[in-house]
Amino acid sequence: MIPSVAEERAMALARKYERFEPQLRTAWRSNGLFVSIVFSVLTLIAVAATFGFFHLLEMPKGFITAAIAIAVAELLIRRLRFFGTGVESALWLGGLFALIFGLPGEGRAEAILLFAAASFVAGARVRNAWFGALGLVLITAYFALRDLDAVALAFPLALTLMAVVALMREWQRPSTESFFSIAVVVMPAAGAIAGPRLEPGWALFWLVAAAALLVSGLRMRHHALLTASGVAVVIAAIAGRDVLPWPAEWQLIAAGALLMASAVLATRVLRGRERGIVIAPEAAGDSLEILATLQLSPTVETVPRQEGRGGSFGGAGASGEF
Amino acid sequence: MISYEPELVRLDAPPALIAIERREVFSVHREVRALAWGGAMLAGTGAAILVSKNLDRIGPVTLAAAIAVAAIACYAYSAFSRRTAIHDYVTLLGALLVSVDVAYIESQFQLLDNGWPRHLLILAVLHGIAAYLFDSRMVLTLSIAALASWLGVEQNAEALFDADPAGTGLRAFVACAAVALWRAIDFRFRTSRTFERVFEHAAANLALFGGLLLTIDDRWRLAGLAITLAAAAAVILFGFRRDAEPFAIYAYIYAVVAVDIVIVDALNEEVLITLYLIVSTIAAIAGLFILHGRFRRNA
Repeated sequence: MIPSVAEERAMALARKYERFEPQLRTAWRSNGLFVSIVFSVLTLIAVAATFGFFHLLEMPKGFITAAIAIAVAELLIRRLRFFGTGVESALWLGGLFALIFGLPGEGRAEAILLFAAASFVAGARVRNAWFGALGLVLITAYFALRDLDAVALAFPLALTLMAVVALMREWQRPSTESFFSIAVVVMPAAGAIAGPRLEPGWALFWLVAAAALLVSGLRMRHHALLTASGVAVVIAAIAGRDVLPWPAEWQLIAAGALLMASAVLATRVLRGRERGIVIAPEAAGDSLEILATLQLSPTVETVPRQEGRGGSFGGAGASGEF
Repeated sequence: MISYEPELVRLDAPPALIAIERREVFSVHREVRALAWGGAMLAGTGAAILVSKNLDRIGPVTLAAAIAVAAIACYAYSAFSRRTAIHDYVTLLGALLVSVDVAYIESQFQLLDNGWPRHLLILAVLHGIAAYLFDSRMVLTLSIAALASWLGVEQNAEALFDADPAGTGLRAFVACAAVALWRAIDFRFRTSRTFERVFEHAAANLALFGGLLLTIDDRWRLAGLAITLAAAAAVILFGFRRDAEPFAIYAYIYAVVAVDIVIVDALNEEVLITLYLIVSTIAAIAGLFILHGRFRRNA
């Protein structure tokens, strides 16, 4: 039992354009991304506590936890019509993971395939695109653990290509579209991490991939492909960091200046355009950027000349320690 | 690619929205902003590392002057260019460079001598001025963070494991009061309301974080719990009044964590602790659903 295509589209559309929410109400309960993450975290804590409780009682912890979690999830889906609330999806995933953790094991790499299968099953049941992508990442990790470096790169790259092709066609279910969108962004990063060591020679390959994704993104007018292009550029920059004979700090400054210049150029080129590719502001606020700036702002680590004046000095976030 | 064109046509949506669904209009605003933000952060981080690693090679005066010139150039661009998608991020880069420069000058020339933490206050003032001049919420956030740091509030999770969490907690209340006062002054003398939410989130988080730190401290546990619950109730009420759900959600989470700390501390059986965590987390989820449902009904 899952929402029909029309219901799932109505829920996604209501999230995208809040003004139409009253006309698009369905019998299903769902939450936005932020709230569903909070519910997922709380639910996973409850599942972990249940697992720990039965472990302390020396009962078959995995089986009991999975049975309770999946039963509650199904009850919430069937009776209360939960879909995308964060609770039912975390119960399904947490329950299946608990079942695997409860199995007697020898820590073999193949166990990771069980987790991948659990992610696919949970993802398919609750139509959660993130769980599907997690399954793909876990399979990639399996290849890396088995030292199959070439496969660990080729597999995610092939999936990225498939996802790009899949995004060319029109999907009816938003969850299917999300799955391919997330895959196209996540899989290049998974391949770069799990595949062969990123030597400078790989920089050219990733730059070509970034250009191809950028062109596809602009032609198809798809944000996920543009984001994937950004991911490929970051991988290329990491791979090619030894090509330039400059110290890391100058590379960072040069990269920052290049990004800033690209942003200025894009702003100038697109200024005043009203059709096609434009730069009109969207509704999204800057809350995420504010939070990220606070967390990532650099701190200047300096050694004070005077003795007894320890501490690192405040950077942009002024995180002084005293 | 998914398209909601059929639904929007049925809903009699404005042509502009239908054009977006047809991909006749495709905005890269968020991508350009991400580029500019990444550029500012990378350049700021690079400058910070440059300062840390190259003190002897370049010379303090040259380095300090070079960073100051770069910061002034960023601010000048923000002041004299027309407001675009990247305007805010050039201002942010300028602020990051000012931070690096002030910290570097203080470490090299010790102008404040034993009062060196006051360089954080200087940063708070400089960033505050820049925030008002360029109407930048991001730079205002840096200013508030510098002010809180000057008052002795760490902005990272390490503070939870400090030797004296209660001391940091009490300083967080002082910082909360300072931010609340600043908000009141801003409200009184400034017509634009763009900074209001930043002040409110900062003050709410400082109060709740302070209460949580008191709860962690053995000597203040119950007082800390009472303060956290009172602050959470006030923040949730404020969230309802302002129709701003994030306030209510994080205040609720702070309150749940504080209650859990006190009860888990009182229990000494592992089985009882895990049983309590199961029950309390389920209760927390149910409570959050009620809270979330109320917000949706009010919307």
